[in-house]
Amino acid sequence: MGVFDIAFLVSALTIAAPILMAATGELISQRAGVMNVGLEGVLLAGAFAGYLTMTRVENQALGFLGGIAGGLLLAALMGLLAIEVKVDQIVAGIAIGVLGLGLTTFLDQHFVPEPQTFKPLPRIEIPLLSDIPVAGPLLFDQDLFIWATLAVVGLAALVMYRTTWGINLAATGETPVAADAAGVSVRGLRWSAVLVSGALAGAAGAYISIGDVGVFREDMTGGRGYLAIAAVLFGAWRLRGLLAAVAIFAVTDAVQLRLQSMPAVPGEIWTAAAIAVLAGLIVMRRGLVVGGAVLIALVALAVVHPVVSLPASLWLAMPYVLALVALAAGGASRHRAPSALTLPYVRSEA
Amino acid sequence: MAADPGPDEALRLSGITKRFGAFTANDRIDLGIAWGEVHALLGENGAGKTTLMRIVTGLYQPDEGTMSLDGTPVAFRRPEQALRAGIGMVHQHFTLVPTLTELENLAMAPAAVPWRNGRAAARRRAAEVEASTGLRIDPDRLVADASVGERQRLEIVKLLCRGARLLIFDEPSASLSPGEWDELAKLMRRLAGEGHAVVLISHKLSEVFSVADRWTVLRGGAVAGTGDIAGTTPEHLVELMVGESVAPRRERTPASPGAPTLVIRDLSVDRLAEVDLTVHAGEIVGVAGVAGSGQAELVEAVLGIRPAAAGSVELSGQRLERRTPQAFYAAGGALIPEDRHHVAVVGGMTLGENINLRALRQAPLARRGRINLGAARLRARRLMTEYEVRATGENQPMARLSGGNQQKAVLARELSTEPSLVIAVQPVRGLDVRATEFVYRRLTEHRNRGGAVLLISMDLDEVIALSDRIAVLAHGRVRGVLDAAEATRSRIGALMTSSEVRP
Amino acid sequence: MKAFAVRVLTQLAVAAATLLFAALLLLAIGVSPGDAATAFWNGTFGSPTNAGTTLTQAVPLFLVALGWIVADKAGRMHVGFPGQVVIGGCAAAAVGLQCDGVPRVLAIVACALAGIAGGALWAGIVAWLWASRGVLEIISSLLLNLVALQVLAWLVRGPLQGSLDQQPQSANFPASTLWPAVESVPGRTLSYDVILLPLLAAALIWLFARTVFGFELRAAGGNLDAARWNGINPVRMGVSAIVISGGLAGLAGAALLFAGSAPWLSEGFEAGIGFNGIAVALLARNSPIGAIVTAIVFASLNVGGTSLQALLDVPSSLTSVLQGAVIVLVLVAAMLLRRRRAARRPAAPVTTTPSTEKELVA
Repeated sequence: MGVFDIAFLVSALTIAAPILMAATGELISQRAGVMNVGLEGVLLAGAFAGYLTMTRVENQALGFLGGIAGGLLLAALMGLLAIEVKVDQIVAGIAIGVLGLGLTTFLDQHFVPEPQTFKPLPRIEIPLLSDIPVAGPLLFDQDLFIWATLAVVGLAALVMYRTTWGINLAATGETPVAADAAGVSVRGLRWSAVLVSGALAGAAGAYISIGDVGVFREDMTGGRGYLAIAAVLFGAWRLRGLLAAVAIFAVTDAVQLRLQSMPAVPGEIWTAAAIAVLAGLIVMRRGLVVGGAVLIALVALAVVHPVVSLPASLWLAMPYVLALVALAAGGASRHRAPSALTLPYVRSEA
Repeated sequence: MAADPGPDEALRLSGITKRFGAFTANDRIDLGIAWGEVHALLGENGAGKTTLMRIVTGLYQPDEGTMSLDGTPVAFRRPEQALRAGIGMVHQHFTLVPTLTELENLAMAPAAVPWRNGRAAARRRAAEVEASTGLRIDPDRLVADASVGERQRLEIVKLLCRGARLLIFDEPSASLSPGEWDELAKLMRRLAGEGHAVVLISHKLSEVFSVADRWTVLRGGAVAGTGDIAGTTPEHLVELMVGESVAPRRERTPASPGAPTLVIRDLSVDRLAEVDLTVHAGEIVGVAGVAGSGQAELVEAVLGIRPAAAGSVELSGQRLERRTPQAFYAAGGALIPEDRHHVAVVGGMTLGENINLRALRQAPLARRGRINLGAARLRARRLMTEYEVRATGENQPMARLSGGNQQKAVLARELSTEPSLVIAVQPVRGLDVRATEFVYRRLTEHRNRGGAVLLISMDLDEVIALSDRIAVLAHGRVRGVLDAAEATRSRIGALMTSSEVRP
Repeated sequence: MKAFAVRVLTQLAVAAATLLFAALLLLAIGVSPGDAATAFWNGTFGSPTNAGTTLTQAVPLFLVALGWIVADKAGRMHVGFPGQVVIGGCAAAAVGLQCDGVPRVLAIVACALAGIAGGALWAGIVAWLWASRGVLEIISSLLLNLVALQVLAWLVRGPLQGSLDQQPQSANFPASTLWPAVESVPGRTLSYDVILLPLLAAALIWLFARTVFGFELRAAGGNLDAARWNGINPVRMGVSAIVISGGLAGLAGAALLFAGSAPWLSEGFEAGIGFNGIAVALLARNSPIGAIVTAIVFASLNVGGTSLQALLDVPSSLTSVLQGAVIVLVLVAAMLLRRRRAARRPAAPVTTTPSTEKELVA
């Protein structure tokens, strides 16, 4: 049995979708200058609110709306703290994270003492197209959320790079004084950006609970919010970079899921990793010494093909470790951070 | 006084008063500005110019008084409203987004519907402005790649595109070379000729006399006088600004330079190329140049913040091999940086801690890593008295001090260690007359005691007034070094523009 | 003096608002706040045994809070405490399990040092990524927290698993490694490590006020560029602060294991100490002395929450809701206080230094 089959690609896509949705929202929010470190809490709020709605009305559309509302609620709190009260955004983010985890657990214990399981989102099989080999099951036999994610990303690209609103967004995060002088409401723009990110994270959270597995568990988002933030940073605050980062994280996660169930690491993993490192070196044109050494080691592993097995928990840590490595490798990109990121805007200083 | 602008009146302020707590920033100000004129608004720092212009542009609301535009009463609650009424301001710090293109900066505007794309419309309007005023922009260039003059032009185009008819220029020459200023002066005249109203905020009288039609002087928040430029003299305006006739310039004792204190050889850092510069003990060497000529690179390379590509720096006879701030200070250097808030003071710490920021970390105030708090307190108090720092005590948080007092604290810190070299960058920026005088006196005293001073300033008058020798910096190179006796504005200006060609 | 009174009043207002919020939550789930208050008091301070538990549980919270204070003073807001507590605990446990038969003093010191080293090492990754790779410490520390949890999960199922059963936990620590408790308290719930509360608070105050190192740390945190321009190496300061805070968190991990109620390493031993410690520091407005009080308050929330669950069937996660709410309220209160001051002193220029500088780490 190979590692990289179609089921693998499908699972990677399923993993990627909520992270991508949440990360797109976070990107918009950060481009406006508001960094929500508590994105994990917002995801949880969305996951629980969606689940709670399902336990009451059992309608998936309403469930997702509930999830969006839950995400909006916590995002609104973040906006209140960061934009109105102007507290330190990092500390506010920590509060949002703690509150998200605490509230969802508390409310879950109280309102839904007996866990319920729902049917996940149905896959929409498009006749004919879904019969195409590889691309068919991958693209045309997916649930609606995957499509929604793609639509959101496309829309975000249009809005960010093809509209006046996108210009205003970039200006607000980069030089709020300039946006203000041009009559653009910094406050209004930051609020809408934060709320958009809340809605997207809420929807992503709802997908994690009711869309994908059909149940809610305490702390079930498992660090996807942190991965989304890491993707924004690694993607150098560009949508294209974000897509690449999410793809890398999702593939790693899918790989580790697959490897958990295997007795030993199959050789094709080493080949694939070697190709990935090679591609990274070609794109970045930096870190040739370290990268080259890693590359040689991977090629050697692929050739020798030793029997290596890692315990499941260490595989589980893989995406996070990879995110760290990616951030360390892309260190220089931090200079492209919006200049006013995390800085509250006080007009009288203009 | 011929102060009545007559029927062409654009903006009329009557009885404008603005208070901040007990402090009255604007006191019953009456002011009339006419279409087709360049109106100079003069006054010292703290005279209320900024507050008044913020009221006019809708950033502040007046406590009392009324404004009318074209005879109709107006009240702006937000800057957008002033902008829509046709009042626009070219700020000293440009309100441009460096990471966007020039076109995108023009297109930036409140979006009524989220999906609108204003790029095409902005391009059209820019073309219209170019047709009527000759102001040309490069729409697809990133603002970050544009020069200061080009950015200022974009700023003006931006306002004109938005339909501004009354343009306020806030100290526009601060970062322009003399040539660029001439261009701007011509443009102001042209705008006025086309019926726009232009307000020029400045305290450089030479500029005011070269472009303005009428003037108004503010002092202490109130109007000290207004009239036609034709009917006044620079001396009269200065008297109105300062409130007393200024004492004639102090006679300077001739310099008696000693051994070289700072020797810079062949220093190349980023845009700075092959700079040779020597400062002797007992002299003030001024570095003249427009902003962005390489001053920051020079200071940061000598201090050791920015790694140099080539060249050497010698301080007090010691060659600074591995340049670090630590080595710079250890060799007897001191620095009064330009950007006080960012690199000189720690706002969250106390005044005493800021004064002792370096002294506290070595003997005699600290021994084996432990600080003698009593001695530190005494030293801080002594220096506060000596340098006339006004504060409630040495424990007052630095951020609560006024700009002038913060600068005095920095001065106390830097000069109290009896350094052999003081680098002073724009040391009086944002200070009032008295504080400015204080800083000049301290620097001159330091030089008279046999200290070396490297004075870096974008204000030509300041450089000429203080320096014994003047090095002219332009486009990262030292274009020439003049003796104080032979340094005139025109000679320095000529050197600044001697080679505008950039690679 | 008046400023002090205002501050105390604000803290009281925050406490009152939190209590009100708690009462509302309790009412919402149908529990009488009065009953809850009684149960809460009995569970936390009602008996010497329970009071001992509360005080002992305050110690790890306090240690993490000190870690936050050190890092925050240096301007390095990392949130890697959960990970550092976990790794510190793992290191301490690994050493402790080998300490059978070692003299007690030696064993205790060895375990504590191992905890400190583990936490400092884990924080060292954050520090290194920040200093040499420019990775924002907040995000790297968040990711490392997740990695630490997986490392713990692996250790208790692999190398450190107890041999007796297949539970994911280690064997019991040898008696010689357990930290001594006050004999006169019934149940011996009061560990002697509570003396760390005043000792470390005093040490930290001394460090910040009286030493060159502490001064440079504060200067680097107050304005990174000004510190650098005045000959302080802000990178060195930032790295030291992160590593020290990691060491304190690691010690907290050891305290959880060797002075806690369960003398073995298990998956959930961190129990939210890492994030709650931050809240403790925030609530104390970064004052080490204040952190003693707020740590005890938070510990009582934990202990009281458990007894509420046992007696009145209140979900124990009420505690974490309250802790999150407290952070929000403290933030808002602090900001309102600052606004009030600013409103009264309009002429004073407000200089704000960016809280999270986009610094160039040279």
